[in-house]
Amino acid sequence: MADIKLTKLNKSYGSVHILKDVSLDIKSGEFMVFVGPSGCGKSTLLRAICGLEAISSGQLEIDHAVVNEVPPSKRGIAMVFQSYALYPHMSVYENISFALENQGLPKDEIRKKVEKVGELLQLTPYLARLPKALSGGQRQRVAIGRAIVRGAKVFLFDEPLSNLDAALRVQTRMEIAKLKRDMPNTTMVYVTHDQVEAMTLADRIVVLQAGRIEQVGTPMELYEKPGNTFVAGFIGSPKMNLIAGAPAERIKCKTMGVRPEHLEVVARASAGTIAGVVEYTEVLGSDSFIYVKTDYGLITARENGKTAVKNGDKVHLKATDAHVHRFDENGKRIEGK
Amino acid sequence: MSLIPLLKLYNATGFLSKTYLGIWLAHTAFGLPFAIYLLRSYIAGLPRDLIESAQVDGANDFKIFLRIVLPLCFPALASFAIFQFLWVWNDLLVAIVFLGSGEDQLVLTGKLNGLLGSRGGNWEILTASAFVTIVVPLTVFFALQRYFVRGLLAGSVKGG
Repeated sequence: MADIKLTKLNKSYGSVHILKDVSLDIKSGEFMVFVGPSGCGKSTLLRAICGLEAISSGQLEIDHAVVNEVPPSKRGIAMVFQSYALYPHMSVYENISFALENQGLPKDEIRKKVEKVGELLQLTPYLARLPKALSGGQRQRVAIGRAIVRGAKVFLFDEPLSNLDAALRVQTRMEIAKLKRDMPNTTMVYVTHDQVEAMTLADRIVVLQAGRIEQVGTPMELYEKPGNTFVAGFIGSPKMNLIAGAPAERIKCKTMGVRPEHLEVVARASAGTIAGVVEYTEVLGSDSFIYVKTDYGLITARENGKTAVKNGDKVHLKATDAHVHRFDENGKRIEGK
Repeated sequence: MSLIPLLKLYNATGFLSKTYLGIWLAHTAFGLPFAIYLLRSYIAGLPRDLIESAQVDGANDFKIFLRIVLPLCFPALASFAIFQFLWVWNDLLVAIVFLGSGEDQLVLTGKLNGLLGSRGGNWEILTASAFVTIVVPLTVFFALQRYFVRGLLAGSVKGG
């Protein structure tokens, strides 16, 4: 059991202010995902929780104890690095047992624990190998094994899947989801820029931009009720269309947001439709993306299956009213219809 | 250039002149700049994640050095060991400056040099004995050369 509580956390490198007043409650056993564009401070925030970066001001509590000054190894955390960071000169067994050895556990206890983890992650046949003799997925599993064996209360993942190829990424993502299910009391914090990982794995997502938290919520909350235009544009693929001007004024807001999947391509104009010319279509088989050039910029629409529209067609886009988001001049969400 | 003041300093201390300790110190000092330069750049090039990972694993600084940094530095240490060994093995100048000329203090190169005087005409003996002396450096080189092969870091981080 371990809650993590951040209160007005700040981090600067000299005059560069990276994290600005970050306050966040991560509940025990929660799978929390930090997402944001490159350089938004998500990795720095994770490293601050880990203890690899000193905190400039503010307070970090793990399990109701302030740990600002506590070294990483005493925080009850384990970290899985983006690069795996396996010790190249040690065998898989030694890699996994290194932390236990540092704790001064007796040899036979270490052996028992390492073998158990090896079994759990299907690494038993590889325990005597060096990391260089393993595949990318196996190395990733060793890195996770190192975290598990310590029995840490909090797991920190720093973009663990970004070095794997697409197929392996999906598989490892499922393994991490399963791992979380098997360890319901372990708090996990996961940093990624891949929103599919964020949407599928997270209990709650934290969206960061330029060192500030933009919104915290469950994946569906962020999808259905983005708090501002940044979150609206960041969550969802393809991006939500943000339309300013006449269509937005019609529904009394500054910016109108509508997702491609909630736009319908119709042949005839009616109230509230937006006229345009098809610039480009992408047909993926399961669905098609239609890019329409309008007076309000390029708008993306999505259709199921193959689409009948062709490049250069004159079309009208109709938004499903229930799925239109409204934002004010500051980019904040306006609730209600 | 540094030999004369160093010799003066040795003579002033008294206990360092004409001793093995004195020449050990001299050779060590002459080797240090290169050693520091080589090892510093090599250690700075080790992936930071490895060190941080070890910190999270609960190893203290000394243990990180001993268990992670030192083993990974082996290629650099081996290269340096070979260079330094060859330099010391081939050295004549430092040896005749800091060591005495007694029979028990004459280094191999000094002895070879001596051959030039005593057997000046017999070049075949001189060249043959010089050739024989390369056996030791060759042994050292072949013992350590496998560490020259890059790739000790393979497998630790991406692309490895």
